[in-house]
Amino acid sequence: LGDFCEAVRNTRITGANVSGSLQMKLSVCGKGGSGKSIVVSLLAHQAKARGLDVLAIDSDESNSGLFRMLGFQQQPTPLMELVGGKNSIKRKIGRSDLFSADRISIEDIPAPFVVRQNGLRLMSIGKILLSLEGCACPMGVLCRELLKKLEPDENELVIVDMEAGVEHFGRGIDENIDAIVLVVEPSMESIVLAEKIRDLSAGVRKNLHCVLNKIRSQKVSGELKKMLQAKSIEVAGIIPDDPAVFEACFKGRPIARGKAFEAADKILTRLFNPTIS
Amino acid sequence: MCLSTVYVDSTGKILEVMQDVARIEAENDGYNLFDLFGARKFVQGTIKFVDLIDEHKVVLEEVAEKGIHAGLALRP
Repeated sequence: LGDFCEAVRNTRITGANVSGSLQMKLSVCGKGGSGKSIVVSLLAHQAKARGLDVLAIDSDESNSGLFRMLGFQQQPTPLMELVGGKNSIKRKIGRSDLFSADRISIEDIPAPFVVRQNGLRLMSIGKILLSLEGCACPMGVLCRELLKKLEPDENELVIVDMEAGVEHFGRGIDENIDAIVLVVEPSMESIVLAEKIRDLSAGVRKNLHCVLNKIRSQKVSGELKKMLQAKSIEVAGIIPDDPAVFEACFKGRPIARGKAFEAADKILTRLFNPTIS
Repeated sequence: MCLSTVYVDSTGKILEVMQDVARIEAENDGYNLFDLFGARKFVQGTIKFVDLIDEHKVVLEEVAEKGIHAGLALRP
């Protein structure tokens, strides 16, 4: 019996784990404006409420509002600064002991690059700040390498707020995560992009979990589900059009608990137990 | 991706030298390569071709007439 207990203790599943403990890296992607950061915030807060240690990674090079939505007073220092920032790269390249390691634990990341508040942790890859400063390729490499080496400990959930669209697939960022959450809003553009993301996710052999957002009625969710099912995309959860979400986006503050959070909890159950329908 | 992988073509055999190369500086009979994370390598040879659209690769080749052979020479 002792050997059996030891074997059970040593059984650690990366990704969804039916026993209740997990180590997981999730990415949240979709069309611009579909509500990726909202879904990241809802999942992060709800996972924290379930007792998980959550690290949110802001990988959007353009928008910077995730920290407000998560309830942080300030943004973390962008990870780009750890390698010296773009200017240093142009001169002679920066330095980073962190990335010389084979494995990075969340605790290894120096404080300015991870902010902690209300039981959540947040880091940011970097933002385009200046006109003519160049492309975001170094940020893509940084994010890819971070996710490749980042190994969550038991009961740690990493949620990556991806840039809008599909370029992150081209950059290989999604190769190093455990599952992909695809946010779809009721718009044809979003549905068309969902089909593309279905194929791109399959290309990197990742489970895709589709979440409908901004849903005003059962009629809309029913139609949208049918349209997606016709493209072989199963819906893992539905986030209703919650006034609390509108208010949070409008005022730049955390989402108040309401219908959207209830929906997020059901989505977490599906994510952690993919066999539940 | 703008950052490139540098290879050496040594008598038809392509060897990867460094990934995510962010800067290349010519020095004497070769090039200093710098990656995003601070690593640096020196490679002898001349540039054979650079592909910055599809494969994002830089391929160096040996310079036989000078007796220089493409290869790695790591420097601190």
